[in-house]
Amino acid sequence: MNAYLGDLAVKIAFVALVYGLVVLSYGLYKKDSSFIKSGRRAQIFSTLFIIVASGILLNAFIQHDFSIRYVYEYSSTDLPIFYLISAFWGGQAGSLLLWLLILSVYAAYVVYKSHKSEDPIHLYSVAVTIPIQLLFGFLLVFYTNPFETVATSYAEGLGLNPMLQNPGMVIHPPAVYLGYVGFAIPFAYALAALILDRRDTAWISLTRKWTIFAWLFLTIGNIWGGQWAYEELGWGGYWAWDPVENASLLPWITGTAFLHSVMIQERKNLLKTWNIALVVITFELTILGTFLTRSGVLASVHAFSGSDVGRFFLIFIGLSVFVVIFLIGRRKLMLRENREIEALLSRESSFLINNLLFVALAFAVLWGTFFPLISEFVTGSEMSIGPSFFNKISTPIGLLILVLMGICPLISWSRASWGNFTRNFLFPLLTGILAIATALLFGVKGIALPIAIFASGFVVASILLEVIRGVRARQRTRKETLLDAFMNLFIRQRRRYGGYIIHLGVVMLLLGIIVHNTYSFKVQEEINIGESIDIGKYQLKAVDRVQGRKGNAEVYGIELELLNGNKKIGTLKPVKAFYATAEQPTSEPAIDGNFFRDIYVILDRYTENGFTIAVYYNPFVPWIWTSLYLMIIGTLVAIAEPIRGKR
Amino acid sequence: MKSKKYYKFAAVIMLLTLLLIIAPGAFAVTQPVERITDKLICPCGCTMIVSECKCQDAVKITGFVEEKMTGGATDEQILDALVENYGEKILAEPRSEGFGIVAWVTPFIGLAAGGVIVFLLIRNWNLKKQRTNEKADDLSSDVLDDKDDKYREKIEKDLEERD
Repeated sequence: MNAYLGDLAVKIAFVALVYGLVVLSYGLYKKDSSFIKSGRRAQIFSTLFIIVASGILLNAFIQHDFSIRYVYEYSSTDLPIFYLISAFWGGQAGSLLLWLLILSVYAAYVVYKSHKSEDPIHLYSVAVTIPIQLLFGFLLVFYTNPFETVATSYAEGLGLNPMLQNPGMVIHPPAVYLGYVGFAIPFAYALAALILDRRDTAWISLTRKWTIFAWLFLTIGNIWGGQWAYEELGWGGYWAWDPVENASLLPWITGTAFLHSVMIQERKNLLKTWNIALVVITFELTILGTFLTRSGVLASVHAFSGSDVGRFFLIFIGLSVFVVIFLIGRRKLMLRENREIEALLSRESSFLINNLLFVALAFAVLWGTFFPLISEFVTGSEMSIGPSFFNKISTPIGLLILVLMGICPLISWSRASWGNFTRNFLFPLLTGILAIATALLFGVKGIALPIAIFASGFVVASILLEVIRGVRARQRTRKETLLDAFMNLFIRQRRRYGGYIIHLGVVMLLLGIIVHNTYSFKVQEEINIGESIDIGKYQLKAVDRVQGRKGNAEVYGIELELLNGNKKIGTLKPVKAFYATAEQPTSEPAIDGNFFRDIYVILDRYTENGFTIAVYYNPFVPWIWTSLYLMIIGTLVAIAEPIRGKR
Repeated sequence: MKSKKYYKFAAVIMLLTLLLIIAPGAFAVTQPVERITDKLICPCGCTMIVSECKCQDAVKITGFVEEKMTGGATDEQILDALVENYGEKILAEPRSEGFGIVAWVTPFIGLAAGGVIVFLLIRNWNLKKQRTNEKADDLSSDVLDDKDDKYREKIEKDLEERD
């Protein structure tokens, strides 16, 4: 019954979308309100049926309805409810349904929010989102039906991949999808503006929150994804530069560039074509990411296997890029820059350089991701691109971005005088020098890290300088107390100061990554009960064997005491987990962490006589996870509704 | 004067870029076997480097590296032997020779080309702005030249009336 109803709901939604596209397009072409109204209703109607279909699939998982192939292949009766929910997006068909569900809800929200608006840009943007929905609807109806039934009735399912049985996997994929799909709305509005030949910045203001929302969720998805990999995959790292990981990083990079460059268009009405290009690139990269996950053209541990739907994403990318280029060609006048950047030394120029660096970084990651294919095409033999390549290429660009992050706030819009610039520069520069001098005094090693420490000191000081100046200005002009002035600064200029909080988060993130890359080390040794091994200034002492149950797995491992001198500071229990539904056991790492370091232990092998463990000393990794919360706070400040009242 | 500023700015950017290009040297590898296995992609299809993969292929390759190292082979000889067995694909990053160079230089060529475009764009916009300003100044001074006397007379007349 679940299968029949779910299948029917998806098909009805698909038909409603086809109807909606035809009717809405005709209505917009003929300016016929009755057709337009019908098209809007079809959009809402299809969304309702997608919600129903998703509810049915979820219910099938909870009820262990193994007559549905997808439920049979991705769940089992011993799976906790938490993971039954995440099994929804554990496979190809369910994740496509999730894509469509999120996009449909977003599009329905646009329809609902704009129902009183006279501005046709909303309707055109809805008309643009429908073909995207149709792509996913088409795949669900004709290629990967999540409600396909099995011929035999099974009492037990094959179970969910043990790697996916982690809280991080419950949150990470929906967060990535919320971000990925979120960029479809700014893309739709940009296209609507092109179609309507709109010369104002309406599409940018209308999609500002959408863009920030999508960016935030992509940030959450990427960092939580890294945390999941770190805690679950058992290789001591968090980012392997896998093609699928890169696929979710790429739109984040270009989306970040877009968030900065729209400010120039809003303030100066410049970079019109560039902004449209950036939002189109960002959206196309989300589709490219979906293609990479599902095509199998590049080897990835995250990809869905045995899929032939990839080609449809490529066709869609080709068609949509063609439409955009055609429209940009037709709208030359609309996109003509009617103002110029007044000076080389100006905030506008620094934003342009910022965009250059972000796009260069995206290009480098894209290039590295596809180089194995390119090398095979050109030379006939495939060359691999591993993490070291990406680290070497992205570190210089990342550091330049970090430096620029400190310089940007010090330069005024339009035209900054060198005198003013150097005056502003002094305090951050001295702070940066002080930071690097202190670090060198403590024997900090490498080249990237000292530069990062200098740049971080510079950025933090420049932000501090901005805040101090802002507070002082409020105190002077509005006679506010120090606390009031400080609070009001963040309340009244949310976007700017929210942005600065995000910058602090980015500083923390980059420092975490670079310190980890510079100072992490691994010790792999055999150990027996009663023996100890040294990990830097710490010791790990094996005290007991571990045997028992953890969730729905049998675990077997070792209990280790973490000692600092003679003082016990923690207990670690790395285990091998045996899932009834998996052929191979998985290594479940044990982590003892504080704000500055993680001691990360994996049980490699065990025999009757002893254990082989791999211990990673991972400094500053907790900074990476913490940085996310700063970025979330900053984004919430930036996106918050304006507070009415005196300024 | 203006062009000096451009070149100063460009020089600072180039210097920073140069400094940062050498930055990746910071990544230190401490374990002797891992010095080699960190440079290898596991052929099992996991896309991880050999020192991080736990599969049989990784164990086999690590054993091979250990054996060769004990036998006194240099890093380059070990890598060459592995490439002979598994192909270029075994290396985690392309060598700086042949088509491998393309992998390394393309991102930086892209960055440099983008930098030149941005620099030229800003300079052109700026020159355009200057030309527009100069044109406007010329135009206004011409107009004032023609009507100068007329306006002066009027101003003086008005001032006299006020007095």
